[in-house]
Amino acid sequence: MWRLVLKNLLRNKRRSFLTASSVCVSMFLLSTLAMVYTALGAPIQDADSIPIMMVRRAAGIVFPLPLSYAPKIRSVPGVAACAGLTWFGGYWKDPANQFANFAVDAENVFEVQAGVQIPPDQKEAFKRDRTGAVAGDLLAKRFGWKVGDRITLLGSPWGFTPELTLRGIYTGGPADQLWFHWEYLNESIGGLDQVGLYWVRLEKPESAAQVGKTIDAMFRNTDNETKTESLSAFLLSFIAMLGNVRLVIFMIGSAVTFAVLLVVANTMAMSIRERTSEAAIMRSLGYQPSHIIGLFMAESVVLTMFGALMGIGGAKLLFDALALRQIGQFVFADMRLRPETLGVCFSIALGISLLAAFWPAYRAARANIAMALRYVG
Amino acid sequence: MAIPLKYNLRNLAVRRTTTAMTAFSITLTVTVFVVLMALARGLQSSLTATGHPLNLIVMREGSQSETQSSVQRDALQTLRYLEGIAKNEKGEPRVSPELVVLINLPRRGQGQGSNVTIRGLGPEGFALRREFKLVEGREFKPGLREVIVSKRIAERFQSCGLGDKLKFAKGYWTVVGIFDAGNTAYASEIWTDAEDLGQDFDRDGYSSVFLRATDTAALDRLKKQVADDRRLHQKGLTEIEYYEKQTSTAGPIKFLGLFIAGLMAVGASFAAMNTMYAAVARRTKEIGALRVLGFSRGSILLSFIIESVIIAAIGGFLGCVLALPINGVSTGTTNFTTFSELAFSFRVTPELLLQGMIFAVVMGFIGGLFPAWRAAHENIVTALRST
Repeated sequence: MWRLVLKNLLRNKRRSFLTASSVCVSMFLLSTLAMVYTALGAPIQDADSIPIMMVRRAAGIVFPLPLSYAPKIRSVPGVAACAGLTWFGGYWKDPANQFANFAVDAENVFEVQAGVQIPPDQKEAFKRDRTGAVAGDLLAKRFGWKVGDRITLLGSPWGFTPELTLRGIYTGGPADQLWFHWEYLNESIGGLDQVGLYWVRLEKPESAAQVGKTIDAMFRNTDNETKTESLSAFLLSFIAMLGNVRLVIFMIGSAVTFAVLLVVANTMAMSIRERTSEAAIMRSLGYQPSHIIGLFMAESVVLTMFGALMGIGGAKLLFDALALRQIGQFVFADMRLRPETLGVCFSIALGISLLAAFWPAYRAARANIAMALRYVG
Repeated sequence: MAIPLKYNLRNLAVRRTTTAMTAFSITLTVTVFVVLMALARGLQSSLTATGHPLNLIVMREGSQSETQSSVQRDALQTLRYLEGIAKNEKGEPRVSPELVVLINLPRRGQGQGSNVTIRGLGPEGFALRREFKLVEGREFKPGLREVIVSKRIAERFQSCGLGDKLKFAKGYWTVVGIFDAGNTAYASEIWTDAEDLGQDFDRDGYSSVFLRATDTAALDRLKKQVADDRRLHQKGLTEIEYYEKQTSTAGPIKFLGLFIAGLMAVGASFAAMNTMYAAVARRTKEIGALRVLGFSRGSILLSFIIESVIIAAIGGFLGCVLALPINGVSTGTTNFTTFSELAFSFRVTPELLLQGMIFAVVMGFIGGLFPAWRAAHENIVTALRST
């Protein structure tokens, strides 16, 4: 039976090729859309297991928090470490070289970002040098920085141009960022004693909700009310600023799915109609209508799934090779074709292949044998 | 001699299911293309439509947007008396010191919020913006913590309606008016008095200063005066230049539109190719007959290409019709230069529809070319003998 399916598919090679290619291209597109859709909904997979939270001003990320909050946050039960940081927003050499650079609490930042690995001597050198900086390995690779390089950050809204010395390169954690001493920034802009946000490390990831509530309650009804959220929720709040992108992607995805359905259905309808008389011959040889339907459906499944395998598999290989996760944070933080996304894409392809062949196959199988034998196409 | 068009139309009618399915896959492609491009256009045009040609924005050197800029009070005094600034009826220079802050407001029907620009204006601020029109309520009065909200923001964000109380900085602000600013970036802002706003946010000084020049020559002179005054550390940009620089926000949407529509087009033209190959195969005998009657290879080639283009044009037309209702639908995204919400409407222009049609016709042409070539090079004798 399977041999018959393959033989039939190879009979009109060009048609099978065109259909499979069409499915391949469309499924590539669909899996790309699905990947972005998933990343927008859950920027980091297994986000609940990361014991890091962010504390920011409830009024918005652009407003600062007082430095005096740090010891108060540290005193909350369940908090292991806390470090303040300020988004600096400078660029290196050219405005096109945008990247994440923060003025951080150098004493505590490594306690909070425990996933960061850095040679102890580099860490000490950074802590000692007031104008020192550390950069993630991805960032250092991007700009070709080496330990000891002089880095000047330009164009920051703070109106201050720090001249930094790279004292270390770390791996793991947010590896696309540059950190320098918050004290250096604070002194240079006149000692406002403010930070943009706090990174908080929890003792146990499960206590996130409780700790968040306690911190926010502590500062309620002050001039600087806080909002404490998980890394994932923090990223989601940025993503929400893009507007309803997920809806747009969902609608495009639906249109693509429907278009593939039409293409496959069209092919199957044409190919089944041309073989109306063949189906009738098989019926007169004693094959049941269910056999005929099964045969045609199997053909559609093999054809579509072959195209889908090429398209979705190609997307997986391409995006894994591109390593989109290394582009940066936010939407890209964990952007890849996750196993469940792949599952959804293949299910869609299977659904399409069954739906596309059913009606023409059913008609061919049920047709009056005498009439069908006379059918000349 | 050309084969009559009627021949193609009748053939399409006979194979209506196949024709419809092929056309519809092209429809979907064109719809997606037009909708995404309308999104990019809407975003772009709301930025390019902003600004009076004689307005100059003065900002701190090196700042990309007003939110990052600051202008001290003493600098304002220098700026007010520069030469070439237009005067109002009372003989005062038409200068508006402005303070821009961002606040995070929740969208209507959504927990998540977005940054919205609150602009504090100087007394001359209204007169400098011809797009401004109050639609409901009244203008804010200085000193009373009153704001007016643009129509688009009022529609899209919670507690921004007339009479509502907005909480930001040190307390509540009353919405006393709703304004319309056409299709410009100002239509995504909340306005209040610059001094009130500065007091509440403990900001001494301003974000930017708007100047109205008397004429274009004066505008250039003003720009130069600002740049040459080394004590100021400020730069002057025309309002139009400032907003045009932000249109890069539309870039990714355009890229996305082309990427998605391009891939969908590959799928759709393969479908058209399949359909046309089937059409050629079914009509091999007819093609032979046509050749015997004296129709040349060229006219057969043309006839099949036309047939394919007709399918595509039907699909393209439907696609444009499907995309039309999106015109004028308002949406919003974050403008990453200013880091704040930019509300705008989808814009389906006749030019865009034409592009959609051309896109469809190209798909049809590519889909029809190879099958038509094959039809035209069919051997007459074998073609006539085929079943």
